[in-house]
Amino acid sequence: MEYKKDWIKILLFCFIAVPLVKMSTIVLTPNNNLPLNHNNVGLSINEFENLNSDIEVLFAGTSHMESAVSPMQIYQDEGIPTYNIATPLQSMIVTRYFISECFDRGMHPKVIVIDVGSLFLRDVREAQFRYVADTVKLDKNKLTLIYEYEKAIKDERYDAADISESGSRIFREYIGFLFPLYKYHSRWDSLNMDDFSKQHNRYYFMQGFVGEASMDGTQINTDLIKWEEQVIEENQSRYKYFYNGKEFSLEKAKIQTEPSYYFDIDTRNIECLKEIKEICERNNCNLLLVKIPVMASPKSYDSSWTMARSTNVKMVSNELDIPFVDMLFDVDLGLDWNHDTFDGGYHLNFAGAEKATKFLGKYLVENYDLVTKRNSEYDAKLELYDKYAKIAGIEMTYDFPEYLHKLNEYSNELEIYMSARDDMSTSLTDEDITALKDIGLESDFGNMELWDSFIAILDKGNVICEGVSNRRQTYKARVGYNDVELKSSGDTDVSLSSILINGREYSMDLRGINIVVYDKESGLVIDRAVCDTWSEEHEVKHDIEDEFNEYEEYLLGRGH
Amino acid sequence: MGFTSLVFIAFLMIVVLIYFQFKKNQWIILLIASLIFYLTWGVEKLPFIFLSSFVAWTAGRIIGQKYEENDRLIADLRNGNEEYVTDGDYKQKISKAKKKSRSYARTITIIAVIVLCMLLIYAKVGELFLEFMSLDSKVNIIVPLGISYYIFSLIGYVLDCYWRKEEYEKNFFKLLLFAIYFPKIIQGPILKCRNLIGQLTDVHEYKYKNLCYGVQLMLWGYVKKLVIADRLAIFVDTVYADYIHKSGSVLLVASVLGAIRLYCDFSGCMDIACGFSEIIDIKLERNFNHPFFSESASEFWRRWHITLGVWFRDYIYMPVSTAPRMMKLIGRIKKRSGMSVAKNIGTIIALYVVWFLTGLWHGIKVSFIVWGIYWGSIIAASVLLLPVYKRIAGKLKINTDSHEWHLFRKIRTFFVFVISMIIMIPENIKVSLSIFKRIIIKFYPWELVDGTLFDMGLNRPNFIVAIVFTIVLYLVSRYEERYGMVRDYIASRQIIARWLILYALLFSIVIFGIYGPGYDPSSFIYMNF
Repeated sequence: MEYKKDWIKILLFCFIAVPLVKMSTIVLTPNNNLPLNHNNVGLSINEFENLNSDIEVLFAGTSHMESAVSPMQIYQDEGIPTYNIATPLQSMIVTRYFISECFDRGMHPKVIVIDVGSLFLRDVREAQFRYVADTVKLDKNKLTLIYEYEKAIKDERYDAADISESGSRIFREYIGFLFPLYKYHSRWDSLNMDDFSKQHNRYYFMQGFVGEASMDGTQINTDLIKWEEQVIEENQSRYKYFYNGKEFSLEKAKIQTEPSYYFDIDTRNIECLKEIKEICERNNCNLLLVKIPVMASPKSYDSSWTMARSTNVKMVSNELDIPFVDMLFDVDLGLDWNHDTFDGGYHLNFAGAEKATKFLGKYLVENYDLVTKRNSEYDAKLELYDKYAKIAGIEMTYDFPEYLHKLNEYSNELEIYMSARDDMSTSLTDEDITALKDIGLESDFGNMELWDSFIAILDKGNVICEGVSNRRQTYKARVGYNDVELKSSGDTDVSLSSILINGREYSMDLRGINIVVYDKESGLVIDRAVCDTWSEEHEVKHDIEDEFNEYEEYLLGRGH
Repeated sequence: MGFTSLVFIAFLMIVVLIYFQFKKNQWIILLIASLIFYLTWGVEKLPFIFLSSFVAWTAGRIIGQKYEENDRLIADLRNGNEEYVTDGDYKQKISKAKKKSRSYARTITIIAVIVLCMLLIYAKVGELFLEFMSLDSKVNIIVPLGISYYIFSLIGYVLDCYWRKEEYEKNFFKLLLFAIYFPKIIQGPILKCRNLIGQLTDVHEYKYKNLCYGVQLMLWGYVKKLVIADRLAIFVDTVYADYIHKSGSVLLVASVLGAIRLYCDFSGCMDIACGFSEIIDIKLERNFNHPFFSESASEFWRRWHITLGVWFRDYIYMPVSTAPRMMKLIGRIKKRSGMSVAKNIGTIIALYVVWFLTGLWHGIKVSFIVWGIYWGSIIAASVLLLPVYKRIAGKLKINTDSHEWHLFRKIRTFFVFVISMIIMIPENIKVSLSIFKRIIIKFYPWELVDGTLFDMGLNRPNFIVAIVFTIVLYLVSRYEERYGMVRDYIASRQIIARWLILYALLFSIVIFGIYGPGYDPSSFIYMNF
C-alpha cells in the first residue's frame, strides 16, 4: 500500500512537471514568427501545418522561391489555391520532407514546383533544418528528416577516428531536435515579450510568400552572370570585371573571401530529386523544376545563377524526364534589375515577385490541368492581402508623378505630410506639377524660387495646410489623432525638413520633397519618401523597412 | 558517460529499477552497472582496474591467510600448553611466529603497494616520459579513469589488512566492486573498504525517504555543477586563456570565481555520487563540509576533500610521525632542544612529506609540488607561529571572539585558497607568477564596475545568475553551519513546499544549466587528477 502511495506521488510529480517543461519549451524555442524579411518561416510552416484547404500547387525551394512567388496573387489572378513552402537555404532533404508531409496529410496538389537552387546546396547548415524541425509536429516524416540531417552532417563533420565523439554529439543533437528545450534553454537571457505571448496565425495571409517592399539595384551587372567568361582583377578595395570590353566593379566588402561556387549538382541531391519524383508519381502529381531569376556574380554569391548551372540542370531534367523552366535565361519576365530586387540581385522584391508570380501562374494554368476553385480560407485572406499589396505598391513606386497618383488614389484613407529641404523647384517637371495639383495642392509650383521652403498637409484628400515661402516655415496642428509639427527651410545654412508626428521624427530630411504617409486605419506611418526634384533625374526614394514590418504586424493582428 | 549527460540519468533510472527488483543479487547488479559505466569510458581502461584490484585482493588474501594461520598456531599452542603464561620457551615460540607472520605480511604489503604505486606512476608520469623521450607521437599512454582514487583506496585496503584493521575480502569481485563502484570512480570520495564494502554487498530495501533525499541531493549537485561551476568556467577559462592581455583586477576576479567554480564543480560531483548512493541506501562519506567557512588552513583541509586528507593522515602522516627513525630523531632533538621543539620538528617533517605527496597526487608538475609546499608551509607556519599570533592579538587588543575577527579569518583562509588556485590551475608556474605580478602591478579597480567583466565570455545576465546562485549556495551553507542539514528542514515542511523546492531546483538546472549540443558532458576538473 505504502509502495503504491509512493508511486502515485512520483507520477504526480512528473505529471505536474510535464506542462511546466512544455511551457518552458514554448517560451524558449524561437518561434521565427516575426514578419521581418525571412524570419517568418515559423509563421509559414505553422500555417502549412494547419492548412485545411486542398491546394492545387505547392512551391518549394530556397529564399529565392520564398520571395518570388505569391500564392495569394495566383489566387487573385487565376483563382487557384497554392502554397509556398520555401524556406531559406532549403535543402532537398527538407523539400522531400514537406512533399511527403503534404501527401501524408491527405493533400492532393496537382503540381509541385521546385526551385533548382536547392540542387546546388552542398553544405549542411543547422539553421536550414532547425527552421523546419523546431516548428513541425513530431511524426514519422520529421524523424526521417532528423535522421537524414544527422547522416549528412556525420559524413561532413567527423572522420573515422572520432566515432565515439561523433556518436555522443549526434545523440545530443538528436535530443536537441526532439526536445527543443535541450537546445534552446540558454535563450533565457535574450527573451522578450514576444516570446511570452504565443504568436498566432489567425490573420496570416501570405501563404508562405515573403514580400519585401524595398529596392536596391546597386551592384548589378547583368553581364557578370557569365562567370566563365570573366576576367577579374583586384585592387585594394574593389574587384574589377572586364566583360565584352566593358569594365565593371564590385566592392570587396561585398565579396566572400572563399567563394564556394559549384557548377555541378551534388549527387545526393540528384538522388533526393529522384525520390521526390517517385513520391509525386505515386500520388499522381506533376513535378516542375524552375529557376527563379537571380542576378549576381558567383564571386559574390554562391547561389547565383549561371549558364553553366542552367545547362547542368537541363541535362538532369532531361535524364529524369522532369520539365524545367529557366526563368532567367529562357523566359523574359521583363524584370528591371534596378528596381525589382531588394538586395542587389540576390532576391526579387515585391515588384519583381509580381512579375515572376504572374508568369508562373499563367504557365501553370496553361500547362497543367488546374481547376479554378473558390476557397473560403483564401477568400477570407484576400482583403488583408489587398491592403498589403496596396501599401507595398505605394512603397515600391519610384516614378514621382506615378507615386503621387497612387497616393491620390488612396487619399481617403491617408494623411500625407510634405516638407521640402534645400531646393525642390529646380527640376520640377510639368508632369510633376500636374501630379501635385491632382492630389489637391494649389501652390504655384511653376514659379517657385530657388531654395523656397514648402510644407503641406493633406487629410483624407483635403488640404489642411499648404505654403511656399522664401523663409523658413513651421506649422503645428492636430490632424486626426495626431499632433504634428512640420518644418521646412531652403536656406543653405540651415536647410532642413522635419515632419514630427506625436513627437517622433519621420522626415528623411534630404534635399527635395520629403513625404510621410500615414495610414488612418492602422494608425501607422506606412511610407517615408523623398524625391530630389532639384536634380534632373529624380526618383522617389523610400526608407520604410521598420514601417513595412509594423504594417505587416498590424495586418497579422498583432500590436495596435 | 559523464555525470551530466542525459544517458547517465537514464542509466541511473534503469539501475535503480533493476536494483530493487533483484534484492538477492544487488551487489552483482551494482558490479555490472559499474563495469558498464567504466566501459563507456573505453574498454582499454578496464584491465588496469582489474589488475589493481587483483593485486590488492591477492595481497589482502595472502596477508589475511597468513595472519589466520598464525592465529591458529597461537591458539594451538595455547590449547596444548596450559602453563604457557610462565613457560619462556612457549612465549618465545609465539613471539617468533608473530614476528614471522608480520615480516611475511610486510613483504607482501610492500610488494603490493609498490605494484599499485607503479600503476599510479605509470598514469601520472607516462605521458611526460614519452614526451621526454620524444615518443609521444608514436605511443599512446592509456590513462585509466579515476586511477588516483581507486589506487589510493586499494593501497589503504592492503595497509589496513597488514595492520589488521581490516578483514581481508575473500571474494575478488566484491573487492572489485569496492574499487569500481561507479558513483565514486570519477572523483572519489576515497573510502575505506570496511566502510563501504559491507554496504555494497548488503541487501537494501527501497525507501521513499531515501529516494527523496537522494534526488534532492543530486539536483543540488547538478545546480552546483551545471548552473554555477560551468557558468563561471566560461569566464574563468576565457580570462586565464588570455591572461597576458588581462588586467590584475580581472585576473583577481577570475581567480576568486575560479575558486568558487572549483568548489562547485568538485562538491557538485560528490553530491551527485552521494545522492545516487543514498537512493539505493548506501551512505558515502562526506568529502566537503563548507570549506569556505574555515578559519585556518588546517581547518580548511579538514573540510575540503576530506577523504583525501583522512587517507594522507592515516597512511602517510601517522606512519611517518610514528616511524622508529622519526622517533629516534625526535628523541635526539628532545635531548638537545627540549620537548616542544622536538614535537614541532616531527610534526613539520610529517606535514611536508604529506603535502609534497599531496602535490604529486595531483600530477607530476612543478606547480603541483610548489602548491604542496605552499600548503605545507602555511599549515606549518600556523602551528609554529600560533603563540606569536596570540601575543600580537593580545597586544593589539583584538577580541578574538568577535564576529568580525571570525569573518576576517574566513576571508583570509579563502584568499589563501585562492592563491593556491593561482599556483595550481595555470599550465605552469611561470604563468602563475605572471598572474601574481599582474594582479599586483596592473590592478585597475574601475574595470570591476565599468562592464569590462561582461566582455569575457559571460554577459551581464549570466553573471547575475551565477552570483544569485552563489548567494543561494552561501545561504544554504550558512544555515547548515548554524542549524544542521537543510534537507532535514525541507523534509519537515509540507509537501507543497517540498515539491516547490524540488521544482525550483529542477527548473533552475533545465533553464539555467550549461548543457546541450556543444557542451562537453564529460568534464569534471578533479577527474584529471
